[in-house]
Amino acid sequence: MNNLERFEDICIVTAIIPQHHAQFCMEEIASMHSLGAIQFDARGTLSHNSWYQRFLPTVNPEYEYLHYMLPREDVDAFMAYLIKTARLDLPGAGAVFYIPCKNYETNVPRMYCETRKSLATVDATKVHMKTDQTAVFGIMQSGRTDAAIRSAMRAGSHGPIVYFSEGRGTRDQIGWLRITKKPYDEVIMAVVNNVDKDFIVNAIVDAGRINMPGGGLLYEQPVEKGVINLTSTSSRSNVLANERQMVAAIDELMGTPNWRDRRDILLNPALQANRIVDKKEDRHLQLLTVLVSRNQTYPVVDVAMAAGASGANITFAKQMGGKLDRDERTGFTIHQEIGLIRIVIEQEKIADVRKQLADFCGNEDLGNITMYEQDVSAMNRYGS
Amino acid sequence: MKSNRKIRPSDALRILWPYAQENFTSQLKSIWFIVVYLVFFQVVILELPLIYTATIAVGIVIVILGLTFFMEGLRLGLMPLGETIGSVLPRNAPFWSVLLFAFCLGVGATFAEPAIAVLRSAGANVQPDQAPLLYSMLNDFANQLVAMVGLGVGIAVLLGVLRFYYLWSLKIMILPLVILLGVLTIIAHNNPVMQPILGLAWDCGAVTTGPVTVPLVLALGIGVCRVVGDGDTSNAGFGIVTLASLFPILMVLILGFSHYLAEDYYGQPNYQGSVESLQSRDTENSAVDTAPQYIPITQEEYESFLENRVLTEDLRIRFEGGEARLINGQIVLLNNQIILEKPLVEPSTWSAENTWNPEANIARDMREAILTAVRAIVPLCLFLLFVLWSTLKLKGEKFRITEEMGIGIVFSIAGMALFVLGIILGLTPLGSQLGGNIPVTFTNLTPWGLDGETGPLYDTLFMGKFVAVIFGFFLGYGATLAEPALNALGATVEKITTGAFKKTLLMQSVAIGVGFGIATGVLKIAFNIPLAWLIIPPYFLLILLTLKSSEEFVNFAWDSAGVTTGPITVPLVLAMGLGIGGSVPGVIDGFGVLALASVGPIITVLFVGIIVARTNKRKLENYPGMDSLDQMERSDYE
Repeated sequence: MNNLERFEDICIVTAIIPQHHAQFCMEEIASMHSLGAIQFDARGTLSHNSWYQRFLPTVNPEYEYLHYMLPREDVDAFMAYLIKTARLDLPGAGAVFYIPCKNYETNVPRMYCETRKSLATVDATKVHMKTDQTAVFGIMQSGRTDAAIRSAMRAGSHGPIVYFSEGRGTRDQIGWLRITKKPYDEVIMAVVNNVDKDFIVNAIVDAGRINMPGGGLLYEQPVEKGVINLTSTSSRSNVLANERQMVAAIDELMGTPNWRDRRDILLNPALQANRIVDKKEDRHLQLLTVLVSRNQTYPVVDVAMAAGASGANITFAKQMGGKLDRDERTGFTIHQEIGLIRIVIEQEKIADVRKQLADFCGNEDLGNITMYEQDVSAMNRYGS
Repeated sequence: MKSNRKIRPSDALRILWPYAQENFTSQLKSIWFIVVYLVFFQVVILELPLIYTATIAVGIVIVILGLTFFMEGLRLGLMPLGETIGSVLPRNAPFWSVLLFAFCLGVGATFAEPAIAVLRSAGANVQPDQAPLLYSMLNDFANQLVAMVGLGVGIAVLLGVLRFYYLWSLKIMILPLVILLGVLTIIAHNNPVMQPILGLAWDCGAVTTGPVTVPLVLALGIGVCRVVGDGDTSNAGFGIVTLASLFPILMVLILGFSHYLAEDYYGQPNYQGSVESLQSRDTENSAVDTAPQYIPITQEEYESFLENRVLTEDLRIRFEGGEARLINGQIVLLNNQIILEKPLVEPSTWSAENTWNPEANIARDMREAILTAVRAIVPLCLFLLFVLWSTLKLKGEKFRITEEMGIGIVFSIAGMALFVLGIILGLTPLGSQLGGNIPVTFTNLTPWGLDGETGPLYDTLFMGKFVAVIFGFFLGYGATLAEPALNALGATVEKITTGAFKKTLLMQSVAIGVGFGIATGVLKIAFNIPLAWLIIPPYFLLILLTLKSSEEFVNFAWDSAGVTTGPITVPLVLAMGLGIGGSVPGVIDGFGVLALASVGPIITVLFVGIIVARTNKRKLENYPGMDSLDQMERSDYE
């Protein structure tokens, strides 16, 4: 039937690395630790420092968004190794963070989660990772992303990462009229300090119109540890440190951000009104993530929706396993494609949904499925 | 188990209406410029009225409708189909069959989209005596020409797909090819028999990839790249369109050389074709009349003139016979006849009397349009669906056409039929008028569809031709913005780079590039400059830029070249080329403009790439002493 194995104490490591460097990093990790990644493309944000740059054509930097899954005991060493390989200590080099998950079930354990003895040799004590951060995911329609990004950066965030996802909700139940739906939504992801979080969330919700009908969804997840070094501005090369770096350094020294001049944020009514609802204590929200083969994605989403999920977001990704993918006959590398389905759902409904999914996968004999849950500390959407 | 809610018709309308409106508006936005510009130029700059305004207006609305359906059809049906095949085949079919499929797709797409017929009209005025080899290639060897072009595209698609497997860099594939083409061009240029076919060869490369082939081939490339390779650059789905634009040029040149060596073209010992009577073929300008170029003076006016012996305002004096000499700055006439006549001067209204084209037969045009659309899309779709179905069946998997795909294919066919019809009704007459009238800036002619003559608008020949060149720039710019294939490319680039490279940026830079290209083309025709002089230097610059640019931009830029000349640009440009060429002595044909129009966008997009690379400069520099993990404290900060 379905041979899903359960693992405990797994952490999901997310790494965001510039495209030109990502291939090298993935190969290093694959060769040293036989660890496979789930990878999809994303773009970063580059805002302008000088007025004339507005008129030059700019193309935002492209990043690769990677997921790795491994046991908690290896996580710190793995993070240290990743930081060293991708030089994430350098400004603008990318980001890496991890969020723990629960109830991890999969029927392809060889790609992930086995303890790697080799990681134990990396000394993790010297790496300084921040702990008081939250990852904010804002899902909104394509046209509103730029406004939301500007707003978020004014409120104190770094340049957010944006990637595409398909949304599933009530629109898909109307048959052929589905064609009127916009093909994909954009997801804004930013990892922010907890002290700035409320302002940034309010800024994104307001500018991205998430509080309008059909406007989208915003949810927050607490990040256990992370290093965020994403660029936000194209700075002149003759300065030693840009504004953001100096502000972050002074924050560290002062121990609190209250020294900053934040009059425009504090006095802005849009950023002040506390629109956060669905706090964790009230509704116990979880983020259920399901990974399946790409061509099975839509049937699986349908099953999940029928079982009680109110919506789902699908991102298509590739499974990069290094040696595992090489086709012996021809010598070419052919990748497995994966659909990454994310559903924000109440605690009570999860067991039922998971059971339905497990049954479906057993019946259809799907070979490549993984499910896990993560905490969501708050959610924002119209009507809730 | 999807629960399909019952939707009342009124609800369905409420969902459909904003969707339809939004798509219509976006197509309107892409086409308004060229239409307004053409109208403005004819009425305001050339001061000539528009003919058949009603037909043109109707035609343009139909074009916009057609484009709306076509673009949605591409998004829903054709491109997902291409992408699915691209991602399914490498995994499920043997390697050689993937290549065979690619080759067949390339050949089939060439025969599906009859772009070569377009070139034949460009060469309609070629006289066998002036350019024997060119004449033969267009008439006697026309089938061989199409076959060679098809072969070229087939090889190109095959090599393009192979490139994804072996991860060859596009730069390494383009540079030898371009150098080879350059060398062949120089050889042909120095040979008087071969020289005329240069324009044909380069234009063949420019027109091959049409509005159905390009999105399909792009989607195929993207699908293949999703699964094959090291996943490094997701931009590596591009490149096939580039090769499909370069290989046909090579093939046509080879065909030309082989016939030249075999000496079996017109006028040569081995010639086997029939020599038809050589009336010069009529151009489309059926509205050119042979009416007298003056208004006849009536008997009453004549008698009043005899009485008053006074010249009225509307009479023009002409001299015939006798002698004329220039003495001391004065023209002295001896023994001439003086003729007084009333020239025909059109009132400057903006629209002439005949608003409806008497030649327009909507039923016949619609039949032709539907036939074109069906021929272009249906065989390709059937071929693709068959390949997909059989590949999956062999693996035991089911394949079902989704609703969206079916709707998409229907939309594409309907859309293409509509916009071909609209082009026949609206854009072609508009373009022909402009094209026919443009030489009025520098020479004397009868305006299209009217009687009488108007003289050159500008005093110097140079100024008139210069204005024509400026006209060409904006024509290229506007027509390119309306091209569906470019729209599809822009949307694809935006999707592939996850929004990093916006569609508007690509479209504007390509449009400006094409504008420059067409302006150069007009320069070529107006001043009768040989093609080789105008095409080798830009390609040389291109090689330098390509070497300097990043792989990602090389991919985008070279593909935009293949995309530009499509169903909207080509008729307009050809009409203009024929019009100007007909008014400049010594010009044999209207070839070459399209080839030049393809070079421009590559240069502009590569320039954009270089500017972007400077702004985004982010190399992981090795800071001195940063190797040890002791420096990790910096990770706190931005």
